[in-house]
Amino acid sequence: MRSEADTRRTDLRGPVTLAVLGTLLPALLFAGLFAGAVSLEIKTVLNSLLGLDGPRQDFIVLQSRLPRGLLAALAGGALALSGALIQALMRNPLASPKIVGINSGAALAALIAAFYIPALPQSLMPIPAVIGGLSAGGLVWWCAQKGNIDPRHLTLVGLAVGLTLDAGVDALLVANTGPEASAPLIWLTGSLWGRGWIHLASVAPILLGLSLAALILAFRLDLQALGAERAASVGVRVGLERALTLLAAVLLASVAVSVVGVLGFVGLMAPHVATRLVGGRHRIMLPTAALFGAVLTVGADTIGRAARPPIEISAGILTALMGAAFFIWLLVAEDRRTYI
Amino acid sequence: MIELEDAVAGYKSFWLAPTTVTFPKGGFSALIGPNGCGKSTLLRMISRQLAPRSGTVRIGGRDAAGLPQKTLARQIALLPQENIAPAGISVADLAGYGRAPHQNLLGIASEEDRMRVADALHRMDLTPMSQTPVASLSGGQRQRAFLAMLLAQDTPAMLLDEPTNWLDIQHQVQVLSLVRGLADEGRTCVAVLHDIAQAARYADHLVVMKHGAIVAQGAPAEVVTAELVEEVYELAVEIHPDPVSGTPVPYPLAGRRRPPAFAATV
Repeated sequence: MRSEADTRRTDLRGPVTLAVLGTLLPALLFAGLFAGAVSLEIKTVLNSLLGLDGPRQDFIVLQSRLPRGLLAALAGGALALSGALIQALMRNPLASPKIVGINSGAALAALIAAFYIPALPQSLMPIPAVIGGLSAGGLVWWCAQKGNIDPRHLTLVGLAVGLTLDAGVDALLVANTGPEASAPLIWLTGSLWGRGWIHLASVAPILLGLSLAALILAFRLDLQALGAERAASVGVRVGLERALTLLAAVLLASVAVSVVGVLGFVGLMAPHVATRLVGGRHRIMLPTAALFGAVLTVGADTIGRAARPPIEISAGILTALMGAAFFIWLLVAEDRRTYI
Repeated sequence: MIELEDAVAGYKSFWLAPTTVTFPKGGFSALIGPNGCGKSTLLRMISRQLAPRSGTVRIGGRDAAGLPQKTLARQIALLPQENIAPAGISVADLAGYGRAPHQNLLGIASEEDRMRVADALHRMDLTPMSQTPVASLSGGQRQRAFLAMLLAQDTPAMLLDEPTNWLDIQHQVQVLSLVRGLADEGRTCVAVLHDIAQAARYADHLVVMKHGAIVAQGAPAEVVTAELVEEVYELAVEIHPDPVSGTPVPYPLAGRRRPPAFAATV
C-alpha cells in the first residue's frame, strides 16, 4: 500500500533534487555573466569565457562577474552548511549561524578591523572575521558547559550573545559611517559588490576543505541529532564531536561573512528546505542544503544586479525575500506532522 | 554480566549511595522503586553517560571506565526515557543508526547491517512502516522504532528505561516478552519498570531502590511482599498471585471503592 510508494519516493527524490539544483547552479552562474551595469551580447560573453577571437569584454566577464558569481555560490553554500551543522548540534529548528551570534561576531570583528586597521588588505578579512565568529561561538559554548545547558536552549544563549554583538555593530556603524563611506553598510546587508578573484582565492581553500570534511562526516551528524544520550550509546564521543561540529560551523559562517556580509537567512532556511526536499539524512541533506544555498545566493546576486542597473540590490535582501516566499510555500504545502 | 562495586555517581542535588550489585548474564533484571529514587541515574551510570565518582562498573568482566566509546557501544545499549525523533528520518534509517558501533565513521551499511535492521523492524512489527518518517508516528509506534534501533545494535547487554512507556497493552506485552526472549538468548537485560506486577511476571531478578540506594533484590516471589511495598512506596497493599502466571501482584488497600454492586444501589 503506502509503503511501496514511499520507498520509491525516498529512492528518487535525493538524486532528482541534486540533479535539478546541480543544473540550476551553472545556469545561474552563466546568466550572472550578463547581469550588471553594462549589458553584453551572448557572443561577447562566450568569446571571453572560452578565449575565442572576436568581440570580447574580458574584464567585465572574467575579472568582475565570473569571480563574483563563484564567490556567491561558495559563500551561500558555506552558510547553508553552517546552518545545517548548527541545527543538528542544537536540535533546534530555529538555530542558525545568524541566530546564535556567529555572524554578528564575525561582522563586528571584521568591522573593527576595517575601521581601525585600514592597512589590512581585503584578502585578509577572513582572519578578523574568524576570530570574531570563534569568540561568539566560544562564548555560547562556554555558557553551555558552565550552566550545563541543554543544547535546545543553547539557541537562547546564542540569541542573547548575538543581539549584544549586533548592538556593537550598530554603535560602530553610527560612529564611523558618513554619507560618503557606506561601503561597510552595503557589505553588512549581504552584498557581493566589488568582490573579485583575490577574495575568492583567500576563502575558497578553507571553505571547500571544510565542506568536504562536513560531507564526509555527515553520518556522525545523523547520530548527534538523536541527542546526547542516544548518540553516546551508539559510540559517539559526544563532547568531542559536538565541539568539532561547532568549530566547523563557526569557520564556515565566519569566512563566508567576511566576503559577503551577513546573509542571515540562507543559514536558517537552506537546511529546512533541504530536509523537506530530500529527508533528514545528512549524507544527502548536506549537499542539497549547500547547493540550495549556492543557487539562492547566486540567483539573488544576479537578480539584484539585473533588476535596475546600474543600481544593485544587495543579495542579502533578495535571499530573504525569495527564500522566505519559497519556505512559506513549502511549510504550507507539506504534511506538518512529518517534521519539526 | 554487569557488575557494580561500590559505584557512586550523581548530580549536584542527587547522589546514589555506594552501590554493589550484579546483573546476571541471561537474566532479565527489573529496577523498581518510587519516582526519583535513582533508577535512571543507576542506568546512566552503568551506560557511562554519567561517570562514577568512585567504585567500578564492569561490563562482561571489563572495567567500563577504560573502554573506548565505540567498544562500549558494542557491549551495552541504552534506550533512554526520552527519545528524540530527528526531522525527516524514516523508521528504517533510525533502526540503521543502531548499527553505528559496528561501522566506521562513514556509516556505510554492510549486508549484515541491512539484515539486522530488517530483522529488528520485523520483530517490532514495523516492516510495513519502514519508510515512514519517525516524527509522524504515534507515541507507541515511535517507542517501537527506538526499540528496533536498540535491537539492531545487537549488544550483549541492554538497558531499557521505561520501555513500556506510551505503549498499548498489546505492545507492552510484546516488549516485555521480547526482553524476556533477549535474556533467554543469553543477554544481560536491565529495565526500569513501574508496574510491579509486570516486573514480577516477566523479570527473573528484581532490584528495588529507594532514596538512591538498593533496598532489596532477588527473585520476584521473594522480593514482592506487602512489607516491602509498604516500606518502599509507603502504600498498604495485599499481595495475591496472578491467576495466569502465579507471580505476586500488589493490590493497594487505600482509596478502596465500595464493591460495584453496592455502589449501584446508592
